[in-house]
Amino acid sequence: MIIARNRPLMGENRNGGLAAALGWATVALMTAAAAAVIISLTGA
Amino acid sequence: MTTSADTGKAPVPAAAPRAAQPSRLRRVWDTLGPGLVTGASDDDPSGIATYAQAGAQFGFGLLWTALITLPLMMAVQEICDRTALATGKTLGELARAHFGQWARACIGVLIVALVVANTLNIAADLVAIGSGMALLHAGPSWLWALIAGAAITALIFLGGFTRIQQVFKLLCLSLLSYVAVLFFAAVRWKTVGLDTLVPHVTWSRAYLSLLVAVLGTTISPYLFFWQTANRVEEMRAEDTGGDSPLPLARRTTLGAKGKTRSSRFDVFTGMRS
Repeated sequence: MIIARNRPLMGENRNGGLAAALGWATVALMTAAAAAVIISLTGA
Repeated sequence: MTTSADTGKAPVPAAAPRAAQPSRLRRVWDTLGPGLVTGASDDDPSGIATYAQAGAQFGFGLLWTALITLPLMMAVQEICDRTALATGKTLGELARAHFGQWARACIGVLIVALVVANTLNIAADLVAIGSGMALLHAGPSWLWALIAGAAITALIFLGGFTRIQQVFKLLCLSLLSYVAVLFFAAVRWKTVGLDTLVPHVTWSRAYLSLLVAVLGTTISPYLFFWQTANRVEEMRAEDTGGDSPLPLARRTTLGAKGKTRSSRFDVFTGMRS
């Protein structure tokens, strides 16, 4: 996500608003899923 | 009949036969590649096993997750693909070149974990192939797991990108069997519709564990890396740019637009498969 919003690198192909919103939503969802796995493994 | 010798004019070469235009289906097939293969690879045996477990335990109860994960997957894969198109570099190369020391160290740890997870995933996939063949009474599962592993390894080492791409694309057609199953299975479409549109979350450990498993197997990080690596390989195999992938910025405006459009179609088709 950080690379995809880098203007010098991506030029006019950098992320638009919708792609950024969906991308960060995925990051949040995967972080929550990873946290859930860690919590279940530690038995908390 | 008047010949060129009679008229004194230079002989006019016969009109070259018009090159046969590929059919529409053929053009669509040629457009598909890294996106289709990456998307189809998400339906790996371990993924199917997870989905089957979800279905066996909760029926259509987890179907609503598809409505959420599909647009997210499509977006993320398209973003990954676009970074490869724009830069001509894979995700790993970009991370190495553009992140600082600490970020690179974090990514390195994550990649080591990913390598371990991928190794286990590949082992699970090979075992699942063997089990599938055993179910068809084709012989012992270990033998088919071994054959599948050896065949894939040989293909990677001996076949070039184009050959591997063709084989994988053909294998993607096997996913059409899921469509065929719909004609034989008695599907309760009303329940499917309701469970897809209205989430019914059960606050039990089993349900939540499967929910996480479904999310994890659907949105797999290896797909991000594979998408970019596969696209870069495809760009390398193109006629333009020699052995180096030609980034969008170094293409003509029309060429860049066409490549972006066809790649997006490829990725979205793969994600829907």
